[in-house]
Amino acid sequence: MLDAAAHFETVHERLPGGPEVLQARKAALARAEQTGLPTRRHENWHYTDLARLLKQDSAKNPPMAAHCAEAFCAAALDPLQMVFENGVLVGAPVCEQGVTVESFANALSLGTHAHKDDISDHDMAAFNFAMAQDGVVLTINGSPDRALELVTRGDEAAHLRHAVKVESGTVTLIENLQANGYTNAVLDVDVAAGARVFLLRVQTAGDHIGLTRVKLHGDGAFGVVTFVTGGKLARHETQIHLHGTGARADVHGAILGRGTLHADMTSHLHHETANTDSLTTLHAVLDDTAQGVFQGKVVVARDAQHVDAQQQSRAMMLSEHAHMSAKPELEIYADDVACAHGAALGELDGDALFFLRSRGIDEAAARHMLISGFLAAPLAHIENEELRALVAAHVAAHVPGGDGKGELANV
Amino acid sequence: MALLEIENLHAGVDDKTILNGFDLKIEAGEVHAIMGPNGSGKSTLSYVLAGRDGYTAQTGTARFDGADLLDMEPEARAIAGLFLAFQYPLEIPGVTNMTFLRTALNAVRRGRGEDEMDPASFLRMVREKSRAMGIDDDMLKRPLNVGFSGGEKKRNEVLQMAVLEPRLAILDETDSGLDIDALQTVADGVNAMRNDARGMLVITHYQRLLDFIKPDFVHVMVHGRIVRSGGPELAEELERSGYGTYIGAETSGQGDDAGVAHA
Repeated sequence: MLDAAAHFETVHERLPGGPEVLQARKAALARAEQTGLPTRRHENWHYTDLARLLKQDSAKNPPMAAHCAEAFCAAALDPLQMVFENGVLVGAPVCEQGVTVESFANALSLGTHAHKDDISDHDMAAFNFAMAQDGVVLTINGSPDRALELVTRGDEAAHLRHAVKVESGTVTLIENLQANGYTNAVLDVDVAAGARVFLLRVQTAGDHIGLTRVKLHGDGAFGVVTFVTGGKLARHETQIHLHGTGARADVHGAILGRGTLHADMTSHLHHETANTDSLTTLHAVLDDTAQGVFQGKVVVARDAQHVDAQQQSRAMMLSEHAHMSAKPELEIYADDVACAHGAALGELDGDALFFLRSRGIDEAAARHMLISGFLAAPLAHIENEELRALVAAHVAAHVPGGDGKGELANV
Repeated sequence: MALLEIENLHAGVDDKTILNGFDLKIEAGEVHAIMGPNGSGKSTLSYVLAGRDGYTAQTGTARFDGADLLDMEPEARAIAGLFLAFQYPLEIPGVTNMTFLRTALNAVRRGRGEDEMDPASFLRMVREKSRAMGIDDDMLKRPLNVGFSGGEKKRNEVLQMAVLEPRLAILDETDSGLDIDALQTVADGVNAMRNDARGMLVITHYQRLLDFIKPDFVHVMVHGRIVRSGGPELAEELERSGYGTYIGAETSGQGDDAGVAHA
């Protein structure tokens, strides 16, 4: 990964797409190489110095406790599953009423994917396009009965590119990130007028650099809840363009950070039109030497009146050596808007701990209860009850002090 | 053996001594009231007995059913049967009242070597006890104390007491912030739990609560110790005369010992 040009030389013949695509890949790589891996000098990457983080010999990182590697499992929901092993789709895409699925590799080879749109990519997305091995191109029309789940597995470096177009209806997507290696993923989502998309993302392992770009048309809604419960490096950047009146965006993150985990939740919300709403939150629980980052940017365009944009980041620090950076950024060019941001950082509440213990609950269980309770807020944004219960159980099993059964679902 | 026996207890927060030679003996079945002016150490006493972090005893003893109470973790005290109704109950976001009650009850039962209560029996029991406290299903499903009014929080404290069935209940200013109707409900809940086996320690600034919960004994606490003890009539006398005479007497009689001493 570090020597991208050399890596590209060895793999480009195996990458999908004809000569035209190859030209575009070379151009993207050249542009990406010019700037190199982002460092602190790139404002967008100020708190996540990729050049440094990816240079760290992963063998030097102490392994996370065994249970941290436990992957999230949504099988109980019977989702339409697409598994990417080391960056390549396993098996043929499956079918579902109202859903058209094509592999990204296929779409590139057949020339059906308009990759010209990808040429303007910057930093990590340019690397991503240059190296993209596979992904999924989804078109959704109507509300599928089942959730669509993208699972990432394997130990090798992987570059994935997904494009989702929701023409109508309501759809639930799950990104289940369990790969142990380095993954660079780009997910483009286009939400048509009146359509609704909910994305649950759970990262339990590996180094994941993800960029989600969303375009919301009138009265369209996009909600994402990202849980990072394991892994070494997590960068989840979400860019949302609220393009049509009545559009609504929800961007919620939760970090359960232990060991040397570095987890970065970056969001850019562009309110391009009047009467658009957004809510961005992060709840981070940081132990050991874990690092949490919240970068939230809200831009309200001129004449985009009656915009409601709220931002909140909260961190619970369980160790003196844990670290949290929070950077809210508001750029407002309209005058009749309601925008606010807040950041809070604290320790586990000693008074609350005593209150619970005075009722007979031992210290470990009381701590578990308070931490789970803190993370109940992001869980509450998962509307689907069954899915919420699955994530709650996953989180409860990863919170220190629990009995490991994940029985304590508080919401 | 007395249920609670405190002898010559000196205790405080960090290096401040607040309890200054405190003595008290409560037998099973008795209801004691401690009254005193602000700053007399009433809440400190409740925190020292419940085991709050930072509230430590310097000398003296507190024995609960013969065991050294001061040596026990807060949860062990609860398992042994001590319950503190908080003056300011804590809000716990994300943990429903019901989950909290079930976790607490099962923790206490496990600690006492009993089986956990099965979910159906638990639900039946909690519903019945909630009804008596005017707590509806919605309040049981909400996060613990979050957004509860002052009265709701206090009623919820008494519900916890009813669920955990302690052997000794300490009520710390349970009347504060309650209107007359809420006070009646809370008092009814407490009175329903009075029996020959259970002791109660009612801590209050005003006599009003004692019109509703009739104590067997009343103690006046000033500067970290009990300066006078008597029957229920003592509360009425205090209501008429105030604490002034006690504060004055204590100050002139004890010299340097008055107020908060530094160890």
